[in-house]
Amino acid sequence: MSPENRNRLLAVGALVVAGGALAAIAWGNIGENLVYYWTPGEMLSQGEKAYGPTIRLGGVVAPKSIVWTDDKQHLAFEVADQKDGTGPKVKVASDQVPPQMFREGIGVVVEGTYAADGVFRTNRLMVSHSNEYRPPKPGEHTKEWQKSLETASK
Amino acid sequence: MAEVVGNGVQVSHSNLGYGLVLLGLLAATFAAFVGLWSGLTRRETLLPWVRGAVYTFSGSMILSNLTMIHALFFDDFSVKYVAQVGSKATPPIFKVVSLWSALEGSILFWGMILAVYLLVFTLMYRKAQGRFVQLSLGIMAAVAVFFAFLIAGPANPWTAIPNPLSDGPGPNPLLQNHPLMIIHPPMLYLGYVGMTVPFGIASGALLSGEITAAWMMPLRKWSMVPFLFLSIGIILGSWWAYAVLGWGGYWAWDPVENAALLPWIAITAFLHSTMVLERKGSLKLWTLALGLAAFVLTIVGTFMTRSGVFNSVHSFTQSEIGPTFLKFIVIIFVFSFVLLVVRGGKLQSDSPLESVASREGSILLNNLAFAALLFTVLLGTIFPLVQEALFNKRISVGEPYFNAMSMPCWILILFLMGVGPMMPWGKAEPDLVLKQLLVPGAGALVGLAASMALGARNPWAIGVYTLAGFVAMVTLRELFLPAQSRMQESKENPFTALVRSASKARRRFGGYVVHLGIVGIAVAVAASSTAKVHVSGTVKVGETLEVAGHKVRFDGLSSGSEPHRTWTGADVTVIFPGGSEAVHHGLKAPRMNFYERQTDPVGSPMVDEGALRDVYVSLMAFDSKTPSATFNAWVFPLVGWIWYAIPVLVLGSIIALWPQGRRREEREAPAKAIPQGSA
Repeated sequence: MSPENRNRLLAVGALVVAGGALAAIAWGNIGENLVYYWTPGEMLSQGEKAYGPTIRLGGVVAPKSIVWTDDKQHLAFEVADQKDGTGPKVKVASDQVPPQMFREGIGVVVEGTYAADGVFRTNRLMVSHSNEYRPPKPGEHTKEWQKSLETASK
Repeated sequence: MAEVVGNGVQVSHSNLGYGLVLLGLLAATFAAFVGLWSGLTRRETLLPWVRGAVYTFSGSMILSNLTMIHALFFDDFSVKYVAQVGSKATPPIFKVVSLWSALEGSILFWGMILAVYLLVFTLMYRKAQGRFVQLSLGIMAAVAVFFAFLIAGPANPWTAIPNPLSDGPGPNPLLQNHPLMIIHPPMLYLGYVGMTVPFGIASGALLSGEITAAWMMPLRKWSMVPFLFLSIGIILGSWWAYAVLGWGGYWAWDPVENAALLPWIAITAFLHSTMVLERKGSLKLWTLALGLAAFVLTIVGTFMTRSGVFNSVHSFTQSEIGPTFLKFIVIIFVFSFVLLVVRGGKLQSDSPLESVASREGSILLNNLAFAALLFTVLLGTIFPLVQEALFNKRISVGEPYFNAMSMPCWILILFLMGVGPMMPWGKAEPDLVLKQLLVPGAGALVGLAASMALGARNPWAIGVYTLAGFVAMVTLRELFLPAQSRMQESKENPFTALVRSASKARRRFGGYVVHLGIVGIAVAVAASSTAKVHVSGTVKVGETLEVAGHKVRFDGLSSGSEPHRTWTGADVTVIFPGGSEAVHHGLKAPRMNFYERQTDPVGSPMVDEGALRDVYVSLMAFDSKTPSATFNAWVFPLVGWIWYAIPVLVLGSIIALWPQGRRREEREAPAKAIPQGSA
C-alpha cells in the first residue's frame, strides 16, 4: 500500500469513527430531550412512563374547573379530552400568566411534567389557535368579539 | 373582470395567467430535454435553442405573475387565488404582498424568481460555449419544469370561479401585522431559488465529468447569492418572530426555522470549500456534493414548510402539493446520489492536502464542523416525522437537544473564523503563525475581560465573547493591513489605499466584511440568550413592573380602529435606570389586534429598541373594569445587533460580487506602476 493510500485510509477511518461518535452522542441526547404530545386520556394510559419526561398535553379546559389563588399568581384547572369535561381529565397547576383567550371550554396546550401526585405542572400555557378564517355570522363584528373577550370570565 | 381583446375573444385573468404558465411549462420542458440530450451527445450547435427556450420560460412566468398582481390589485374574484386571499378593504400594498401570502401564490411567485435567476444566468453567460453550458442550463430548466408543473397542476392558482363572490376574506392577518412580513418571504425565496444555479453548475460539471477552471469562479460567486439572501431571510424571519409574535424570543428550533437553516448550513460550507476548489483544485467531489445537498435540502425544507407534514405525517397527502414534492425530492436525491457515485471518480484532485495547519486544512475542518451541525439539526428535525410515520407516536425534539448539540459546532466554526485567515495556503510555518498571534490574542483577552467585568457567567457565552475578540482582531487586520502597506509604499491617503486594496481582492475583502457581521451576530445571540431577564405580572393603572432595573408603568388601556382591524392596547411608559422615560402609547403600546373574520386576537408586543438592550413588553391579558393589564416583560441585551448585521452582510456580499472590470489587469499590477489617477 502506497503511503498516499494509507493516509487516505486513515482519514476515512478517522471520519467514520468521528461520525459514529457524533451519531451516538446525538442519539443519546435526543432521547433525553423528547417532548411527548399526549391528550389527557393518552397520558393517563401510559401509567408510570408519564412521570418525568416533558409532555405537551393538549385538550380542552374543563368547565367550572378554573381556580385562581387570591393574588392571581397561581392558577389551577383541569384539561379534559372532551369539550363537556366528561372522560379522562388531568389537574394542571400553572404559575404562568395565561393568554387573553384562556377560558373554560377552549383548546389548550400545556407544556410541563406530570408527577405521581396527579398534578401536571406547567410553565408554558398556550391557547390553541384556529388558524382558519371563519366567515362572519350575520351581524357579527370584530368590536363585539373584542367586547366579549374583555368581559370573559377570569 | 373579463376584457374584450381583438376579435371579440374574451381574455380573462384566469385564461391569460394559466395560458402563460402552460407556455412556460412547454418552454422549460423543451429547454431541459434539448439541453441535456444535446449536452450528453455533444451536439453543441443546439445551444441557441436551449437559450431561446429558457428566455421563453422566463418571459412567460414573469408575465403570469404580473397578471396575478393585476388580478389582485383589481379584485378579480373570479380567479381562485384572489377569491382566497383578496379583499376590497385590503390596502393596495398588501394586495401586491398577498401574492406570496398563501400556498398557490407563493409557488407562482417562486416560479417568477426562478425565471429571473435563469434569465440573468443565461444573459450573463450568453457568450459561453460548450456542452457544459447546455448541461447546466438543462438541469436548471428541469427544475423549472417541476415548478411550472406544480403551478399548472397541483397548486394551480388560476382556476376560474364561475360565480364569483363580490368580496374575499383578505390575506392572513399576521401578514398585515408588520412590514417585515412584506420582505421576509421574498428574501427567503430568493435564497431558496438561488440554490438552483449552483445546483445546475455542479450537476453540469458532474455530467460532463470535469469542472474547468473557467467555471470554478462562477460556481463560487453564484453560491454567494443564495447565501446572502438566505442569511437575510433567516434574520428577518427571526426578527419578525421577535417583533410580532410576542413570545419573547427570536429562535425556537421550530421545523419551519430549521427548514431554512439546513440549506444555509450546506451553502455556507459550500461557499468555503469552493475557495479550496478554485485555489488548489482539490475537494472537487466534496464541494460538488455540498452544492447538490444544498439544493436537495432546499426542496426538503420547502416540502416541510409547505406540505403541512409537521401538523401530521398522515395528513400531508391531503395537501395538494405534498405528494408531488415528495416525488421530486426522491428524484433529485437519487439523481444527485447516482451522479456523485458514477461520475465522482472522474474528478481528480490536482493537489493533495499538504498539512492540516494550512488555509485549506482549516477550511476542511470548517466543513466538517458544518457537516456535523447539519447532521444534528437534520436528525432533530426529522426524528419526530420518522417516529410518527413508523410508530404513530406524536413527539417533538426539545430545544435543549438543539442547543447542546449545535453549541460545540458553532464555537468551533467561530474559532476557525479566526484561525483560518491566519494560515497560509499550503503549509504553515509555526514561527510565522505564532508571531501573528499577538494582536488577536490581545483581542481575545479584551473579550474575556469585558465579559467577566459585565457579569457573564455562562461558560458558552464567555467562550463566544473571547473568540469574538480574537476573530474581530484577525479580521480587522486582514481588512486593513494591505491598505496600510499601500499607504507606506506609495504614500496614498488612507481612503484611497483602502479602496484600492479592497478592489484588488474583492472577494477576500468582502468575505472578511461578512465575517465581521457574523461575529456581531454571534455576540448578540450569546448575550441575548444567556443574559435576558424575564418578569410577568398584573398591574393596575399607575403601578409599575420592574425588569432588570427598567420600570414599566401601566398608564391605562386605549383602543382604536383602522380599516382592516381594531385593537386594544395597554399604554406603558418605560423608565430607564438613569431616570429618563420613553412613552409607548396608542399604536406603539403592547396591543391585541382584532381582524375582521378572524376570531383569535393577534398580539403585538412593544419593543423599545436600544443599541445595548431592548425592553420588550407583551400584553397577555387585560381587564377594562379595574382597569388592569397583565404583561410579560423582558430585557434583552444586544439583541438588535442580530438585525443590524444585515447591512454589513449585504455590504460585504456586494463588494465580493462586484464584477471585476476591464481595468482589472491594470489594478492588479504593482501599486508603483499606476502613477496616473492617484488622487
